[in-house]
Amino acid sequence: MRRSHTISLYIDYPYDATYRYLADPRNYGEWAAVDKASYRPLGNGDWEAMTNFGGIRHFRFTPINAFGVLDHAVFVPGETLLWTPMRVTPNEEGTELVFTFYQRPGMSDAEFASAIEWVTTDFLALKSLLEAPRR
Amino acid sequence: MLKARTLTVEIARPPEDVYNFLVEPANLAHWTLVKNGRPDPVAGPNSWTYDGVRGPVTVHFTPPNPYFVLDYRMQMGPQIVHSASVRIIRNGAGSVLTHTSVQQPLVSDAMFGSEEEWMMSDLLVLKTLMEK
Repeated sequence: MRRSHTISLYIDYPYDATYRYLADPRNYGEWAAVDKASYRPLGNGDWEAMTNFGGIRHFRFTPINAFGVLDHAVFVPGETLLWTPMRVTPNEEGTELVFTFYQRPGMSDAEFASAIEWVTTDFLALKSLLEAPRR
Repeated sequence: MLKARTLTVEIARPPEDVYNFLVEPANLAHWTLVKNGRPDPVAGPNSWTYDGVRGPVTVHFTPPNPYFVLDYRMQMGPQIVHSASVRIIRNGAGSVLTHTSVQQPLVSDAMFGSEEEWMMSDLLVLKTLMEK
């Protein structure tokens, strides 16, 4: 079993709208650590982008579901998929987001700690994006 | 916004095993203090009532699903006393259980803190039971 770290954060934005936004793969490039210009759909339903942490990756998303489940896999084409669990649930007028990050094979404890910080930054960016007043 | 707190427990058993155990309402009595569970169709299609320490308690469960989601709400009398989103996720050959409680209206901060401590000790009982 790998080490894991779970992040949870409150987003002051309604659950339905938050889920709809996150479930649409087109929006992933807006907040995740990828080069937005390179982010594009592939023929098989997966997406591809240059990542900020280095190299091209493919992305696979969970189909629309009634449970707020937003798991996605970030992988090198041809290699094993490592799914990242993510979910949103309602909290009154807002949303709770829960995300679990795993220590990947070959990742040192220091690298894992640093990766957690980077991932947390992504989610704070997402939070700001959703909470910013809409034009 | 209600206060929320997430607990996580790693369990050295495949997520299918943990989910299949927890999705069966009768098994709640094996790792918490409730006893004598029985379906309560009047309360809801996925609701069971148990004998709790402080009287009858009704638990509204989530129907079986492929995402291993186990959200529940606990009701005593007319009031929802506890509500949580729960999920079993895969971690290699093992599992991680994530349990996010939302502090219900009328539940004080002190009571919520104490409930979370009880919850964590229940979850550790579950871990021990599953890893046996």
